[in-house]
Amino acid sequence: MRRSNITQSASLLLLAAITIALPHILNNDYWMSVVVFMGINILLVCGIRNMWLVGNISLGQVGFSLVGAYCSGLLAIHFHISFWVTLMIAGVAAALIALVLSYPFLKAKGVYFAVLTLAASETMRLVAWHWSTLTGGASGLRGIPSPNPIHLPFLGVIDFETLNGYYYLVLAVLWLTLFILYKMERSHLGFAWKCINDSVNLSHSLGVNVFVYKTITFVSASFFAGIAGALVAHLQCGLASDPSSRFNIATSIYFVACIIVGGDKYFAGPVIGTIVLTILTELGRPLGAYVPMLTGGVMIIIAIFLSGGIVGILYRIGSFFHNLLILKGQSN
Amino acid sequence: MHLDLGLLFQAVGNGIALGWLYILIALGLALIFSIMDILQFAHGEIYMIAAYITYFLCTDLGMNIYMAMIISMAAMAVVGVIMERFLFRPVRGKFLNPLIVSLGCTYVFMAGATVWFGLYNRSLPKLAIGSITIFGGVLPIDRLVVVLFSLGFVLLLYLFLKGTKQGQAMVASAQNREGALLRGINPNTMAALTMAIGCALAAGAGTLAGTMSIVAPGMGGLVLLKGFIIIVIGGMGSLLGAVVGGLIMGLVDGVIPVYADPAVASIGALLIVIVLLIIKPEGLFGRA
Amino acid sequence: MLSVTKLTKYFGGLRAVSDLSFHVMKQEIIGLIGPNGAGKSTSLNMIDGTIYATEGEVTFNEVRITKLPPYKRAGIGIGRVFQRDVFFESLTVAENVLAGFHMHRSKGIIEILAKSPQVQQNERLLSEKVKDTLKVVGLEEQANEPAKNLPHGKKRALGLAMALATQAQLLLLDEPVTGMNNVEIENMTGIIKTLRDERRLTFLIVEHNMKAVMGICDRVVVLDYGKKIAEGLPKDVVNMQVVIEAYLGAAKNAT
Repeated sequence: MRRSNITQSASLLLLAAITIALPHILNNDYWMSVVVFMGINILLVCGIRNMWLVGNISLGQVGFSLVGAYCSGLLAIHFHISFWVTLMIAGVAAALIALVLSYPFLKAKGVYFAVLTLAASETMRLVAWHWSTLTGGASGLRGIPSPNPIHLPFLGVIDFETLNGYYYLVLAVLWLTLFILYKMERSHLGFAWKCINDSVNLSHSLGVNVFVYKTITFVSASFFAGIAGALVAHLQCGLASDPSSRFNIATSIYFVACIIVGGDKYFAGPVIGTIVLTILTELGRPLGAYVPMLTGGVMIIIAIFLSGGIVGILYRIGSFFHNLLILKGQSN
Repeated sequence: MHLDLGLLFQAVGNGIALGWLYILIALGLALIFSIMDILQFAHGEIYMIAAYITYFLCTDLGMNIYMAMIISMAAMAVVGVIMERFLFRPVRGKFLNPLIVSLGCTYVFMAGATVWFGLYNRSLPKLAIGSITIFGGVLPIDRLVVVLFSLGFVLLLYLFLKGTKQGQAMVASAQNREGALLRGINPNTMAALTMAIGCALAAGAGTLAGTMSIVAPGMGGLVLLKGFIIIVIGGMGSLLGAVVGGLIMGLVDGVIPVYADPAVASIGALLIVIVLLIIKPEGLFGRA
Repeated sequence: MLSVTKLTKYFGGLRAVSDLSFHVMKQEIIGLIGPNGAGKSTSLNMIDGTIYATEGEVTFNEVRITKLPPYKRAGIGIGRVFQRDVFFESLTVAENVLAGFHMHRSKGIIEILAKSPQVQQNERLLSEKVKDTLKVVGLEEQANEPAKNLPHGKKRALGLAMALATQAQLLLLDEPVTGMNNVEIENMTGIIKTLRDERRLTFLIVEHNMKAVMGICDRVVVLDYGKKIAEGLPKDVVNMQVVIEAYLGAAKNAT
């Protein structure tokens, strides 16, 4: 047990080092922008997968990120509120809407929830698109300011108007969020979720208030979605909510693909899945529309044949070699 | 406030035409859900692809539009059967996997359409030219033709379900799957038939919608959502619910945008769903 | 401890249970018997909250709980062990019992992020309690096995362990020894007696197996067609005319 703790900590430190040094490793603005958006997507996707633990399949988290994005952007433009405050408000606003929706949505039977979240998210997008006076409608919202630079002792100034600066912002938020989500899954909260996912009736008879637990995961995931949206808003310094923007149904499906491809049973699954799909999408740009076709195909294959996703395959390879080593050790 | 009766009639007429199109989609979704327990997300893409197929049959092959519609319906029925056999059957019975499969199909079809058809909007010839005027409201005749065709399809479906052995077996499967199995009804045949009928209905709706407005790559997504909201309102597995819900939705979409912002129609639909679910979580005609 | 008074349940027009009244005193083991369809399970369901009574009252420790929702009844000390083995299929045996302790676990928000020494201490105590509970029902060897791999008799023991974990004072057992062989039956009845004597628990048992009922119950209530037809010591009840006729009548209907 102690050995695995050491390997865990070591690999985490290594990962931290790589992520901190990444801008200097890549040294390429285009790929940096890809990485930053990928980081924001990982934020969203991990929150969505957290909801899956209790059986809430939400297809509408993009809607909450849209709410967060516009909240933060509009507050910054009209009231000149500092980014650090609007970031929190964005998350809280998204969480509040999720709280309000949770009562009717979670009351409905299982698979209704997926449909309802999809409907809610599209409705939010349509509202943003049509409400021209507030959001700029079809021409979009422009002029969202970047966060003010921070002065750190010894490290100088971090300027968020540069891509590298913004990268560190996203990185910090991401690490913090992943930490919180991981802890949630490992705590009594996550244990209760496992029980509820297994059998709602039995959980009820053991005194578990199922509705509260489901609401917690929905609201917390939406909070992080709102924050992710705010990050997008201040990165792009503008927002659009037309059908081809990042707030549409295709993106929701893309997120589901990230979770499935990475492996929905593991915490690292959505992270790996998002990274893999992002890289594939970028590399496949010359192939154009064949990439989403391929992604869809991979989703289907994984759903039919391999339920563990990439992380699942890695585990199986890992335990195969592990067993091999044990047997070798025994025969010596 | 002076109520312009003509405008109201026009809006209601438009809404009813829209409503019948929605009914075709919602019926397919309701059938597929009640018999196969699957949320067919790719249904909207079937609708869209059928419209494009009809377009190409008409322009490139010079076919008559009615012929083209029948062929595209048949083609989509075949696609549906293939989907069922190779994609849905292996994951039958599980909860998450069929959802992933149908989402994957959505992606594949959406991208495929971009590749095969390009991202261009197309238009289909109207089914009838001219309009009639009732109470000062101008109702284009092609809307009426669309309603007639939709009615026709629904009627055919009704006769099939009531009158044929397979149709009655489908109704039995929808109400009680285990009981149907015990009576020797073959679930594979049921699933294949369901997908065929559902896709054919969606295809018909796609073509008809194309004649009423335009054929666009995004039309599938928009209509799919409405289809799902309709079956949630009507009760997930209920065919009657699909019909009633479809008409309600059509009227909301036809009437409200005339008097208020289109966004209000979307919010309105969502609010109806939320309020309904609080009062009756199974939907209007759903089973608890 | 438990009182049911004039308990009645209608399902539509069908009267499943009518006018049922009896008491269960603390640390008693009461048997609820009768031919099939007599309304025994329905009565249990009304006591643990799975269904609500149409008429009548259920009182537990002087509190009327007739309309209390099921998950709240678990909280006040009523535990149920189901007829069809119900447990969490995706968890191990020990985790299942831990789930039973859920209500009595520390559940603060801070605990999610980091565990204070106090909480760590509580968690250690909790795993001790889980081990104890497993020991009582004889499952300590299988603690880390997936629960779904247990043989049938042991699954029933798991159900009992989970109910015990909820700190139930009154345990409702629905056909606890059905499907078991003689050795397993002796095992189970032994466990129940131990729990009654050492942990001062009370039991209401629905059962068909007459030998088991005779062996373990202090008193017996007999139902037929939803009505109570007899009550008393097992050796007396078994010789009552009404009871014999009820069972014979059921046997005749079955052929």
